[in-house]
Amino acid sequence: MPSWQFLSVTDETPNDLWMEIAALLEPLDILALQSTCRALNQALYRKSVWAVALRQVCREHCLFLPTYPIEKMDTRQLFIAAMGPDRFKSLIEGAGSFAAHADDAPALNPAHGPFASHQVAVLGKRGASYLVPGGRFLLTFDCKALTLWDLGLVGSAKDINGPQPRGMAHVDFPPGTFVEFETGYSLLDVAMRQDSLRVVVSGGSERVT
Amino acid sequence: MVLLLTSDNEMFSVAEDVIKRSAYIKNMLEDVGESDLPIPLPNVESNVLVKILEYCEHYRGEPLPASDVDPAEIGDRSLDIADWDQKYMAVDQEMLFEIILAANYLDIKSLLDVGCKTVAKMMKGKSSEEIRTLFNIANDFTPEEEAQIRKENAWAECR
Repeated sequence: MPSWQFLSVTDETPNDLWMEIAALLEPLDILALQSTCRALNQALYRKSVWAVALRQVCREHCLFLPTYPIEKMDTRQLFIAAMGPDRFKSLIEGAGSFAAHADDAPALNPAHGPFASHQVAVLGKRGASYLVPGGRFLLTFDCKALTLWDLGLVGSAKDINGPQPRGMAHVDFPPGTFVEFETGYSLLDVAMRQDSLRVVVSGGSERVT
Repeated sequence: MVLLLTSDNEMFSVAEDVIKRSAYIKNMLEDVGESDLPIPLPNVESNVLVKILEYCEHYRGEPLPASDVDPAEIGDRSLDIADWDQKYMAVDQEMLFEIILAANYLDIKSLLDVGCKTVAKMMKGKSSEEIRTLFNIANDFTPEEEAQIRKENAWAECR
């Protein structure tokens, strides 16, 4: 018997140990693990495992936890909701650029007045994304464009390959506004006011509001 | 001293303050009181108990973790492991899983955490196929199930 099976044959608390391990893993790691064989699929594709995973996704993205009615969601909904950020990242990587999907979206207008609650994201090499607390809207930024996406009503999709994120609005930057970014070089600063967002992006000596 | 009897009938005599790191034994000693009778450990083999005792011995004198930790509290997914613990866990896979099982059975929370972190670290960032190879897991899905999983996971397969 391969030794990993030790954890699946405990008499009193079967599978609880896999749950402990899953609580330490990212959603993509749990997905990979539960796709290895039947026993691990049974041990991991469960409400309890994916509820913990979704709570952690909420915490990592500073989401307002009540956004998701976790107690009422089934395994499938929890799984899809927890996978949201990774799925989007993979879509963008497949598309090659944040700007690629947003050609038909209207241009953004500057907003005025006071804003509260600042959030800052450090840019990675490809650009930055910021999930607006609540989980429905996502801001993406690279040196070509700033785009606001609608990911759809949170946790409502039944199909993991279901509705694609919709580009709602965008600001295009003329070539040369920003130089190509190195890791951790620039900042995306997002402030929230009830129904408005203010975004400040900076790169090198350039600063655009 | 506390007497422990392993599944392969080996007797161990252990200092009480060493083995009290096991909440299971600690509770048993408190319930039963002083006794000359050995505590049977039908789920633990002697080679594993030796390893477990090495851990308890190393942390002898360190305060026991508080037992009133809220289980609903979500951990932070930190996979940091102390240097000594890392060296301690540098064992073959069979022993690693045996340690996790025994730590679970004996209720040694800190050791269980280190064991789970060690396994999680090994799997992190790996594909299903890489995990199968790593842990010698046989793929027992039917071709239909396999196709379904492939379809579902297609978006994630860039890793």
